Parts: sequence; structure tokens; C-alpha cells
Amino acid sequence: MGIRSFFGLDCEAAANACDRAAYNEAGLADKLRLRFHLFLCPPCKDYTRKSEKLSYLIKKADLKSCTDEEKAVLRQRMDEKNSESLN
Amino acid sequence: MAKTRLDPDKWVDRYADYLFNYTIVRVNDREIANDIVAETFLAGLNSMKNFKGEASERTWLISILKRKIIDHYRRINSNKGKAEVKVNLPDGEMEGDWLEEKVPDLTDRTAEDDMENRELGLAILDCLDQLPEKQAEIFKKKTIEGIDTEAICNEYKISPSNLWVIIHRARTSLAKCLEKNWF
Repeated sequence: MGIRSFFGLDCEAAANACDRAAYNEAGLADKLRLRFHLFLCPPCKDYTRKSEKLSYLIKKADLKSCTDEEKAVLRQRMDEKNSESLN
Repeated sequence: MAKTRLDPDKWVDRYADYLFNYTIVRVNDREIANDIVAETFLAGLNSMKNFKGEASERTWLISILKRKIIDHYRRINSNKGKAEVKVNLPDGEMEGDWLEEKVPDLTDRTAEDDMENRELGLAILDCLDQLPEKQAEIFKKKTIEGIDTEAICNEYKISPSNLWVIIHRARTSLAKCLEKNWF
């Protein structure tokens, strides 16, 4: 993306606002400036469309991941097993 | 083709999330899923000498995991004579309601949807595997675990702007990868 700036938001800042918006961390002012920017900038509009689609797919997949604590327990159980086989 | 070598020290970091997702959609219980993943890793350690190096490490671990999931259901089924069915009968106020009305409306979610979502989840994890390790870790923490930006920045000793650059790169690569492999 170039550095064309619309309404005080260049493409890099627009991508950043779009990413933050995906995590509900964009402020109202950023969201409004992003809307204006997207109106005039097809590449950023394309990025936002893809980003929204990605968020939708991730939500749909309902991914789970092991927490750090759960991973620590897994490592501990493997270590115990390793030391058992060494003894 | 070069033979794959096993590296059990990296199993938890590399495969725990993938195996956990694979399991939890099949057993629907976080604790049981963690136990099955642990049993898979332990069985993997036990049978390392049988690994021929023809499949990838992950494929080999998944084949063990599948057997562990089947074992889990066999164990449950061995207790089927003791099964107890609980029905919550309606109280007085609701008397007269048809049983059919109490059945959840599943018309908007079919078995095909569930299967598609499982496959989608694994496709996303496949794409995440292709990202640099740290980028994937940070993305998972932020997106899947929903950990606060500040907490992640403190853990990895990075600034918020660095975090957003990492998230942006991860999202761009994932979107590209899914476009190629999913749509």
C-alpha cells in the first residue's frame, strides 16, 4: 500500500486501524477516518474486506488453543516420562 | 526424499494446539482433550523407535491421537450399562407445552456445518504453522485466547506498535494462505 493520505490517515495507519478494529481496539475517531479512507482507497478497501473475512472464518471455526498452564502440564508429563525411562 | 526426524522437545510448542483442536471437537471436554493429547505425546515417546520417518512428525502424532480418541470412546462405551438419562420435566406453569417445542432449533446448524467448521479450524491451524513461530504464537494469544495487548507486550517485551505490525503480518499471510487452501 502507498502512502497516500486521505483525511489524515495514510494507508499504513488505515491498515493499523483496520487490524485494531478486528479486535475492537480502534477508537471511534479512527473508525470514522478509516471509513472515509476506504471510500477513496480501493487497495485498503480490499485489505479490509479480506481482514473482515478472516475474522469471520476464525470466529466460525471456533478455534481453541492450549493455555500456557496446560502446555506446562504437558511438558511436565513428558519430562516425567523421560526421567522414568532413564531410571 | 529426506526422512523426517523426531524432535520431542518441540512437540508441545509445535503440535499441542493442533492436536488439542483436533481432539476437543471430537470429545467436547477441555480436560479430557488435554488428557488425550498428553497420552498421545507419551505414546509417541514410547514408540519413537517404530517411527520410520516416512510421514511428517505431525501426521504420525495424529495417527496416534486417532487411536487414543477411539480408546476414549471404547472406555466410555464399556460403561454404557450404567448410563443415566436425566430429563428435566416442565414445572406446573409450563404444563401443557408440547415436547417438540422444547427441542432446540437446529435448523440453522447441520452436521455438515459442524464438519466444515472442524475442517476450517484445522485449515487455519495449518496456515498458522507456516508463519514464523513467534508470529504464530502472538497471533494465537491475541486472536484465539483473546489475551490483552498489554499482557502480550509485557510477556514478549515488545511495544504495542511492534505487536500490531506482527498481527498485521500474520493476518495478511493467513488471509493469503486461506484464500489458496480454503476458498
